[in-house]
Amino acid sequence: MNVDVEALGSVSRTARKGGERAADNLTGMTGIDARVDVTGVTLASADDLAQDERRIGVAVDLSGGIEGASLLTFSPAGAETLLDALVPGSDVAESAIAEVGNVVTSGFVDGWADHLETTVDVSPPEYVEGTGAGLLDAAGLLDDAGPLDASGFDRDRALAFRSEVGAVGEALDVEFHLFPDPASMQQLLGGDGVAIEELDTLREMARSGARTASESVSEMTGIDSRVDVTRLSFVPVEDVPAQLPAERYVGAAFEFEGTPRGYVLILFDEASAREVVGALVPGTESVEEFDGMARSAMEEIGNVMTSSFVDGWANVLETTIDISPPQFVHDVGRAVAESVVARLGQRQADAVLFDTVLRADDRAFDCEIYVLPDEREFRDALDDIDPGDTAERTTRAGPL
Amino acid sequence: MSTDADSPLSGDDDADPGRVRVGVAELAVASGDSLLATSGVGSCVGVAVADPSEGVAGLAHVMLPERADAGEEGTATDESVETSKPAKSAVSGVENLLAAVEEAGGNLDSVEAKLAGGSRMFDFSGVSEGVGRRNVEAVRTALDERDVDVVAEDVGGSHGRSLRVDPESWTLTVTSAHDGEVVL
Repeated sequence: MNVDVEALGSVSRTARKGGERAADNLTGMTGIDARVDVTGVTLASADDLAQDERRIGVAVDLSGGIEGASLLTFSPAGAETLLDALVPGSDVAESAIAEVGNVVTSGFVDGWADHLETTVDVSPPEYVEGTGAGLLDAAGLLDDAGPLDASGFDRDRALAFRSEVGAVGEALDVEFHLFPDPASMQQLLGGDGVAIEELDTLREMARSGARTASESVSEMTGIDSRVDVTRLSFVPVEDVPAQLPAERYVGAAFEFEGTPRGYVLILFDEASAREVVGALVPGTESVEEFDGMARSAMEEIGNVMTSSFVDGWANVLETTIDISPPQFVHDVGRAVAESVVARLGQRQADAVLFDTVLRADDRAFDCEIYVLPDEREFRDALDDIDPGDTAERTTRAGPL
Repeated sequence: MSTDADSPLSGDDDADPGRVRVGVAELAVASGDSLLATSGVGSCVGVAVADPSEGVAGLAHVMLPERADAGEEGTATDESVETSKPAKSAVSGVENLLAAVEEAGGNLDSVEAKLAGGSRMFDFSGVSEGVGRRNVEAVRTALDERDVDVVAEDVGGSHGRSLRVDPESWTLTVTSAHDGEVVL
């Protein structure tokens, strides 16, 4: 199908209406002050959507104005908070979660339906728990082994609407995914826009760029890292900072210029940054300040990683993209992201966000890569993609 | 990001009950001993206003010096954004913040303001240069137009800040790795 990228912004706002309604329902039921943190449209493979963490929630089928499925989950700690608020000391966990899940899901769905001026029917909630693929399976999204199952869910490039609701002063996080079937998605986002395959080509490029970046990290530091997640999201610019954990990071920021322009953030958590600089500059393993050689090492590795990303895009888009010198950062990740969107926000209401996480199997290692192209230039660049080149590149990139 | 660790709840700032968290482009009002907090303030500006005699305070996390819509294609700001993101730009952010404080019982004649943020995190050039400085200027101008005095501020620099407003004592506490804790 084709996606009208311009429509993504307005659909994000529809999603926010749903999120607000869901947060209200959650507050009404539990007395916990809940609020919407993030809403947006995400393009990712089933593998990327499937997280490693165990989560608990409900799957619901939708019919009527929107056909498809939804998945609403809580972290185990969040579920505990809910149970404490609803049925202290009780052991009726499953039915209580199903009930609250149902009410919160209804909030999301009603918000959508009202905003779209339609009605959506929901099936009785099905209690689900597990990790990643198990949850998608429970939501009926992975019925068949093929790449495109009976429900129309495309494992390789699934488009989902994602909302996160958090609480103030309580450990409670809610994640809501709406997976409209292809016909519904066409209605919501369809138009003369770009083929979803083209969007996915860029996501795939980001993934292969991340793979190269990950290899660079491994070669330079001996830390065996791998690409854990690559997503492409469309979110209101002001929602971008909340996508980052409220932690301090060390890394580098870059501006790139060409078609499109934009920003790259390479952010390591402090422990991982120490490992990286320790490997590059012996004797700096326990630095606190990351100055001098340690700082240069961060800038250098950021430079290599950013080139991995941007060069791949420049090839596919048949253009030249120049990268600025690195700007070292050691600060709260959200303040860094917030400063980028304060720049982007002067020209655009919605952000195009590629986010990738690199992890290591044998140790705690976390590197997050955020790429934020100028939204309008990104759209123009997509228009220029040669479909033949796209297909060839997609093939060359190989399976996920 | 959507792992557990990425939940906004993982931040220390959010783990304290009685604290109202203000997101980017949002605002909130509190009174008595309930606190207002916002974290990750870089180039944006945290605007705290209070009527100290009434113990009412408000906090806005202002993102842009001016509205971005300006009739440009693809950036239209619709009504829903205005209502859910009341502090996206300086002028409307200050207007909405003062209205909210007044509604909560504050007297606008005795309201004063404290500012923090507006840092220059990057040395990138281009159209967006100095957005932090321009944010601070735009907020100052908007407050001046409403005859609200800025009685204290911690702005500029190149570091991020976390802010906490206590309506009861009318203090704005600014925390950063750069300067530690500063009480305004």
